[in-house]
Amino acid sequence: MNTSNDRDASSTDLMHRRVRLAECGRFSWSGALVALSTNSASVLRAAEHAGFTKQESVDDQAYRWEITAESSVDDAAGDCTCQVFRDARSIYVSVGHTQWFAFDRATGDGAGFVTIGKHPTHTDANLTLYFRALVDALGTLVDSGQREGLMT
Amino acid sequence: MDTLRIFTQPAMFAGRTILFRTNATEMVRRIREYFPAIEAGSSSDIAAEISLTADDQPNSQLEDAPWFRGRGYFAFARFTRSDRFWFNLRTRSVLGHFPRALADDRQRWHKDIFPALMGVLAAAIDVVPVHAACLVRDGRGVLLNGRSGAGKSTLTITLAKRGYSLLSDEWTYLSDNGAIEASGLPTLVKLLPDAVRFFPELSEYRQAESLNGEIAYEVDPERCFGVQRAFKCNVDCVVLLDRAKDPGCTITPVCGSQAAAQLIGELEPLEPPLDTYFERQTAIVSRLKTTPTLRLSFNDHPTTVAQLLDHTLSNRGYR
Repeated sequence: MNTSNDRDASSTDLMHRRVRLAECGRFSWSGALVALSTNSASVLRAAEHAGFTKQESVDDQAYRWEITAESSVDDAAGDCTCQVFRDARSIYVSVGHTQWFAFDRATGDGAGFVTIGKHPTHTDANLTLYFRALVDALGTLVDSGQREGLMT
Repeated sequence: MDTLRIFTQPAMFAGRTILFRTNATEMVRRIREYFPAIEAGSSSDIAAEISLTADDQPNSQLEDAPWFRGRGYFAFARFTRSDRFWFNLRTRSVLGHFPRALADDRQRWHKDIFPALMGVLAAAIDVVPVHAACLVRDGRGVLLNGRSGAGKSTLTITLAKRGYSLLSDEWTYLSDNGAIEASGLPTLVKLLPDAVRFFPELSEYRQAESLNGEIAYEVDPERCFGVQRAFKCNVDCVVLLDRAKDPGCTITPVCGSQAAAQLIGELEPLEPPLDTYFERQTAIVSRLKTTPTLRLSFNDHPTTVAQLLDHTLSNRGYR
């Protein structure tokens, strides 16, 4: 969705909503099932490294997470300060200026954006940081509550 | 400013009640001066909630860095390097965190932040932002739709100087409240640099880079042109603007379905899970099929075009 203040009549996808997320993985994590869609295999690998266990089974009850990877012109991610913001219905994780993840407490669904660079080493380090921020912010919630606990 | 006390402030947007919560008294003032107050008899249902938290951020950076992203029900907006606005469109809630210094920046809230917040929220509360100007005369609303560069803003200001009340020069918010209602926000009017040919008043103002990167004049229309503003009307007529190759100006009645099709074609398509919002937006705009519609093809001085359009609207009883 574009913001009304900043779009032309033509459809510009200013918010980058329509990026195709063709890479999919199903994971168990802290007792929850997560169906993760992304446009970068690196994101799926980073999820495994962060403690998400790959699952082969199909479960319609899985949380649907979508993470869009965006290329950065430089490898330095710049400010990578992790911050967590919460309201009664959502948890929002911010990693620097351009990386974020949003989580719906009621449905368990989530979405976010992460940066990948030209060099795999930098990309992997950044993805590790990103998933660590997610695990720190959401792990306790998912672990302690399972699905019922999320229905607050 | 009080970081412990939370103020709640309801406000109206396109006939919907938006409930703001904030820890900053400055923000209560910003909200009250920008949004119309709750009307007597309006629905008490809260369409959306927006929490705005001003906090103490060391080294807050307030230079421009607008950045927007969205996926699924979620969206994220940033206007400086130190603020963050999160949207959950399923729950129709917004959470904003920003440095205290930004709360003091009235112009930034009026020019960029409030319009963008409403633009992102609109679909979730059954409001349709359309790329159209809107004017009101004798309580009747005229929607002017045309592509960027068609001369819409110039014609809109010219009509406003002829006595029409200005509801919007660029983005109009449509909602179905029994009739199709048009609403506006008290945004600045954006005019490209060559508009100074028609409006010498602009020479007293500076051009600046707008949120989408265009260099333009962005002025308060009441202060700059002395025109009146309106914030709500029913849509009684749609005018489709075309820039003609040859000099002159022609106005032709056309079927309202052309207006509906053109406006629907310009809507931002929304992917699942927001597709149901998009279907509802399309249904609202489709109701304009029965609205009297004119096609205005012009390549003439805005004063001449405005005069002809005004006479046509008057003769046909559309205003």
